[in-house]
Amino acid sequence: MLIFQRYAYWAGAMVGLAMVFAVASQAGVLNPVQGVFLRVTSPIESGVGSVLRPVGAFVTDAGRIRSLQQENRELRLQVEDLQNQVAQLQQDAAEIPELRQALGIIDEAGGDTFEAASVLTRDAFPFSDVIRVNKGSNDGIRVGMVVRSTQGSLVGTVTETFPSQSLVRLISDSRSSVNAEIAGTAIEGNVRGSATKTVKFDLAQGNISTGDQVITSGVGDNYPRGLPIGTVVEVEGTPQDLYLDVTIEPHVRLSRLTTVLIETSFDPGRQMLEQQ
Amino acid sequence: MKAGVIFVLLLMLCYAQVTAAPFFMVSAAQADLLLVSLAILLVFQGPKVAMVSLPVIAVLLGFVSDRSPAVLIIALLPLLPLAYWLEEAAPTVARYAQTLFAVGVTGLWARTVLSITVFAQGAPVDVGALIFQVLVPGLILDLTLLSLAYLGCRLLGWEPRSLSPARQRYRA
Repeated sequence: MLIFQRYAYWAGAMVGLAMVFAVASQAGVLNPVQGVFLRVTSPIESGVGSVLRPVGAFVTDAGRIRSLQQENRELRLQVEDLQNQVAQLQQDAAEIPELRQALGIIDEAGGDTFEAASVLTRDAFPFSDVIRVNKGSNDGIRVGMVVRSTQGSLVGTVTETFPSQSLVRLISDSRSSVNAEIAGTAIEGNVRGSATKTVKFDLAQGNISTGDQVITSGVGDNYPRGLPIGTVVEVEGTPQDLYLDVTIEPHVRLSRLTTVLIETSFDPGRQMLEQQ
Repeated sequence: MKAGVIFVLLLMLCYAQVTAAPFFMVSAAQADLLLVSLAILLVFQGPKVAMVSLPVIAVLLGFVSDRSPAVLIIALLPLLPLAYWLEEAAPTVARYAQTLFAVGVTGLWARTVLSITVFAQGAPVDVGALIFQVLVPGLILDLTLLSLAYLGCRLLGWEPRSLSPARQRYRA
């Protein structure tokens, strides 16, 4: 009982403070304060981040030198394969305008607009994976906007905005849920993160094998259709299982993101519904 | 002056938590730099400094990450009373062992509380992953980091202080 006597007032004050913060957060009172704080401390953040991030990356890579060498060999093979595919696609692309013209199709592509943003921090607490980027509501960023890698793969969604910065929930976050499909098939499922940040393709039924490409399905109108997400690297389960346990390797290494593209032209249906 | 130094140090540790710590993950857990720092402040700077530092840490980390300051306060809250209770209940046990125990228990509590908030926000509940991929590796990481920090402080010649807020007032 002695500890309650000694620390009772302080513990009570802390619980009260926590309640005040919880209410203030719900009421949105903390948001402007947080925005000012992030703006004021951004020079310190840049300094600390620029020193610690490369050190952390170096130490991590040093411990994984063998797996990185193996990965490098595999990537060289993939590059060669992809270069061949690019050559083929370039030939195909040259024919598309001609074919479109012949069919009378209006070219709607090219209307997408993006805002490039630098990654400032990554909050990788278990079950959550959130990055903070240096573009906010002042730059036209809104909650629900889709975030892509510089190569166009899906990275995540904007979940909170401040005047000069935003929080982006990555697809490796357990709270993230992306309706997806296996490219070229009718197999649909749900891309989710996990505690260890591996990305799973849940609720998938059908003949899935390693190497299959997973893309957004556009169902739910939260993401544009056809955005590349990753490659199937592991499939567990038998044909008798209702759902297979499918693991995806995202095209982009989410832990090493430095620059992302926020798609400002896409208006997600979910946000429109929530606003109503 | 001292308060200013501690504030800047805590701010830099908050940024280290969201820039460098994610690179040193064991399974799904990463070391809780702020919990270990709070324990070091408690033991070597006294309870008053730790009592003020706890809400400061919660606000700073809440502002630079996706976590709520309210939840962070609740997550870190048991450390001080628990450490003090251990000091009173087991005075013959070495302070280092007491601190390890207090940090270990608080770390388990903090990760559980923070995980529950994520589950409440829509993540699928996975108790197995929580125990074996988060709590156990997190405990090992926290105790390892605390041991290194504690050893460093002792090598600097710092002496552990009494954890009783009232008793400390009468120190010469």
